[in-house]
Amino acid sequence: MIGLGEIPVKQDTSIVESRNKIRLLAEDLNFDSISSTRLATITSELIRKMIKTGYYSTINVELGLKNNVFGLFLRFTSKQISSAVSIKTLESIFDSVKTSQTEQGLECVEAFKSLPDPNFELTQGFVTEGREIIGRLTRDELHQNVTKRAKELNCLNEALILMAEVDPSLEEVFLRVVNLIPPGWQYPDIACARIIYDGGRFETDNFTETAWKQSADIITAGEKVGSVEVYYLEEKPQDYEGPFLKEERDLIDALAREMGKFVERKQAEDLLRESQEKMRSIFQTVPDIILNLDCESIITFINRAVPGSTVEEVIGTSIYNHIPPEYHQVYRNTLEEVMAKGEITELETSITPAGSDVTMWNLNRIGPVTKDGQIIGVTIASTDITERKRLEEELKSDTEMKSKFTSMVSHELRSPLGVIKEGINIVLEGLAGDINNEQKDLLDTAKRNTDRLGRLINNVLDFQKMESGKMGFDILENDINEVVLEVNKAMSLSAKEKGLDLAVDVDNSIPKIGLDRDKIIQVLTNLVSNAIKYTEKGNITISMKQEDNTVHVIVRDTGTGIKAEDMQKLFQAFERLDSGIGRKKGGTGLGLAISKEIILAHKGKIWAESEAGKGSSFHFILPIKERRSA
Amino acid sequence: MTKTILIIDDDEDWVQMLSMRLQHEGYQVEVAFDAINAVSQTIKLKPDLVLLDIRMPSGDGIGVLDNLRRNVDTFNIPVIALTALSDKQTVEAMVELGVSEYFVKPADRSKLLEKIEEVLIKK
Repeated sequence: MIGLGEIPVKQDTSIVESRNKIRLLAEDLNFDSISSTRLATITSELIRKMIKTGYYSTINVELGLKNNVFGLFLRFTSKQISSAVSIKTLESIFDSVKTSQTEQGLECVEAFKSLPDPNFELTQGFVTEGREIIGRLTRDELHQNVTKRAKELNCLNEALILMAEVDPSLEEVFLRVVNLIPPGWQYPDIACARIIYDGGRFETDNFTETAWKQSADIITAGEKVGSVEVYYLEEKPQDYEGPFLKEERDLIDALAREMGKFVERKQAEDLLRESQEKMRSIFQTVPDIILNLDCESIITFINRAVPGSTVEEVIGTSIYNHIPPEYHQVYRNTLEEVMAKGEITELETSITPAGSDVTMWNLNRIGPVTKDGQIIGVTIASTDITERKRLEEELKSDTEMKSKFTSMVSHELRSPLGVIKEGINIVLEGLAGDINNEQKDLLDTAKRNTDRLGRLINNVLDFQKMESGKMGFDILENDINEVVLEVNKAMSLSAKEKGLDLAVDVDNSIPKIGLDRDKIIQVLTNLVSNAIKYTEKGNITISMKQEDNTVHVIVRDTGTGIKAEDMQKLFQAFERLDSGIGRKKGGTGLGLAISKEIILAHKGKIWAESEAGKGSSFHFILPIKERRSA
Repeated sequence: MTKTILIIDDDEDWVQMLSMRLQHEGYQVEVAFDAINAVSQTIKLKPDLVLLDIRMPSGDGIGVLDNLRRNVDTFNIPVIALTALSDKQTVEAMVELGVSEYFVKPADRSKLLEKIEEVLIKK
């Protein structure tokens, strides 16, 4: 009998391995009655069926002769099983195995040889034996055949078992395998062997190169990576390949082929280990807690221990044991959604641990884990965002504070300013008695500055409203031409006073667009008054045109222009170009910033073009609302 | 006949300026400096027009307006409101209580005078 080894019932790879072994042996034995491929398929099918019952932990396979029958003898050993399994259930399982074997032309004997005693104390487990008839050869024929091949089979078999081991390194395995080779040859006493792989040489103790050599290449992925060599230390007469037998050629080829597969597997394992190491390093380095859950919300992986529990304590428990009850429902919904849609979702949680007054904020990104296109669970990456939340809160209260302060100051400034303004006006108008020219001049200056202060306060209030998002917009369908003409009317006097020509280029083909009339007037007034301020001679034109789905408005002047380096500061709050002039001109540094906010609120764009010394043009575009065709 | 305007406002400086302006326009000006006396003053003086400051520390201008509207002697006296507040709630309350007009402080002088004249002519 030739033991083919114990196959641990783990996964399908053990079936594949056993199939390979059986196929090789069958090939070697040259059975005529049953094709080796079919044999392997049927046998592994049988093993699969038995494994599927879920009762077996190991399968022992032997090839050999028993009761005049040559075949594979299979022994399935069960795990310990509970008494919940009734004898009837077991019997029906065996029956079904038997039936399917019979259907496949196989024979199963003593199916429940060691079925436990009738009292059914099934704590010991049980053994099932079956056999598979490979060929019905006569005893003599068989015996001869088997004896002749036994050595070779043994050699191959033992090499295969060694190479199936997971733990030893490739080098260790080759060093042991090489010593198994000489006994497989016809004259073991004068045989030596060597495996060459990746620059390494693994030799038997008596290794000597001689003229009587047999070798085979180890091939992986179509390339030669090494070789197996057998030498006879002295010549032996043979008629095939020097001193060697034809069967020995087959054996060395089989060995080399299996070594190739072994190398491939080891390489794959190395690759896997390397990527596992990488993953481990990543998981340990990221500040996040990363979890895997199966579809029952049981934790199957966690990248590190969490406060109060080790990794081992957490694995296998439900996620719901680790989150406060108030989050159970939202978590359940989110997990269901991720499992159903297969999309990454974010969930923010805040947890205040018992006895602590610090709330911990976490941002959990939850994504699906798939296998063969099926969602089999989720990954949760949980980031601690407590600090970020704290800063956000701080910022929010700072902004609110600033906003309140600005609003309060501005309102409080308005009242006394109103009094000052009115006082100046009354004196200036002579209501409080006649004034001379010098007094009038001084009061004019005072008046101009109170007006400026008033504008500044209004702008600060506007800007603050805009910044805190409290500025309301009243968007209605308007004719942009009308709006521009109104601004033109209001501003023409101040243009005229400075000797400038203010012109409007009306385009009546432009459709009505949705805009807040007062706010757009504010923008245009600001642009035109800037143009007047910074233009000493020449003209200012306001023009409009339709461009695709937008209306493009341009305010062009022939003034001092804007330096290139100043262009980007233009629309920033409290930035005034060339502050000397600006101050003299009475600007507030907020007009363009407010204009920008207004245009942005209309989903438009505002920008400036200029060449210093050659005038500037300010542009804004407003979208035309798409009309549904009737 | 000279029209009487009652200013209800606690900002004495502002009241000084406004009175001077209105007197110059030929109106008789009376003043109530706090909300508490405002209603009784109005009943007593029966002015042709009230200029009411909505945000006085001594009391809520809206409350004064409400009282004026409830009193049989004052309910039809026109009121122009002056306010530092232009929030929706305040504006709605003022409109509901039938102010002739409201101005956000500091009011444009000429517009305020125009409105006063208009209201008094209507009356």
